[in-house]
Amino acid sequence: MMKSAFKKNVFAAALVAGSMAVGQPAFADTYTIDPRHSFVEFVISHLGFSLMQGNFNDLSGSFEYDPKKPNEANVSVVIKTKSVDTNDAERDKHIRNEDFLHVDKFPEATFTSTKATLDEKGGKLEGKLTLHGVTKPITINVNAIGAGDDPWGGYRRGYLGETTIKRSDFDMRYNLGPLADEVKLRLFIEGIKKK
Amino acid sequence: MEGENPASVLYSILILNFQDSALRINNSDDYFGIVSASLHWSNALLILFLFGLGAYMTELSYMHPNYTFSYTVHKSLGILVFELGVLQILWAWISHRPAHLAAHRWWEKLAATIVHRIFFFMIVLIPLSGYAISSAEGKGVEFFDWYAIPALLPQIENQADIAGKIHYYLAYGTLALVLLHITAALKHQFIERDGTISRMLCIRVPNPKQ
Repeated sequence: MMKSAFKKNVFAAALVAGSMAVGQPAFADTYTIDPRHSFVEFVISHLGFSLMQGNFNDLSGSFEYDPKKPNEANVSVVIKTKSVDTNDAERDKHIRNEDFLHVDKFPEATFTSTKATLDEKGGKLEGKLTLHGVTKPITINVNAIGAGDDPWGGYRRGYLGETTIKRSDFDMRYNLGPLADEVKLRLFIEGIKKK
Repeated sequence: MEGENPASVLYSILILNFQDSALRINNSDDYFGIVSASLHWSNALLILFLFGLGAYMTELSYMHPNYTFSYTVHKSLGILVFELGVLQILWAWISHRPAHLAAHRWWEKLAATIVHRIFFFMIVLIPLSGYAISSAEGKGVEFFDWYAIPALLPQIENQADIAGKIHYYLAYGTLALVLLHITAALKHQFIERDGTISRMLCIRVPNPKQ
């Protein structure tokens, strides 16, 4: 009788201790963006008749995420503008020059989050986008794709972020027709948890 | 036989050229033959047109009605100049090379030889650098709607931008030499009246052995 009561108490104490440990302020995990599984895709109207799609292939950065405090998440991404790729060498050369991205002068575009409104499924991420030397606030709709252990001993977390910007807001006014000011951006971001 | 004015030059080609001999296909010391002359003049016209078209099209906006067609024509004719240029170089190599006109001074002969050699390099390098722009990401370059030259060059980083700069500077550098070439030829033909242009029109310009 005594023995079992003791056992129970120990078990209860262990439970309390365990729950206390869980309740303690956990530090958010930092994730490094995996450049081989992260892309920024853009879609723009071609003359109003169809859509033109391209990618920025070279991006890097990191994010911090704590599943218990998703609203404290923060993200920073750096995109190498010369990595623009629309599957056409002449068009890419044109997009890199002064008419558009002017990559010699503005080699990087950056996004830094300022406010997260997230849950496990996603939500909204507000932040500052610097592109073509102009910084503007944007809001990204975030869709959490999944998270878990990968087959190689790491832990990954992936998102799809979507937003729409106007080229004119970022001082890129080269005339491509009235419908081609708006650019839809899709950010495919996969992070590997830092150990 | 050297022409006094364009009309008499034309008259010479049409009539006098063929009075004293059979068709002048190969070169001699007195004239350039039909093969050399036709390659020279067709490339001359194509190249001058391509200089102008290149300068024009790169200033066009995307929405301009001539935008896409200008690039198609520039690339296609560039391919043609490359092909004709290779023929021209091969023909210059295997055919008889006319001696410099005896009346020319030594430094004129030297300068002419250097400039002609540079032209032969440029007629290959400028089209190649243009081809390197268009084919930088693995796509071929089309000759109108007829055929395409596949992307064969090994691809390097920033290829389109680097090749674009090379294409630009080689073209403008060569344009300066072309203007020198034309000016010198006109001076020799019309001021010194030594038949420099005449013999590139297959007209016999007696050139005694030196």
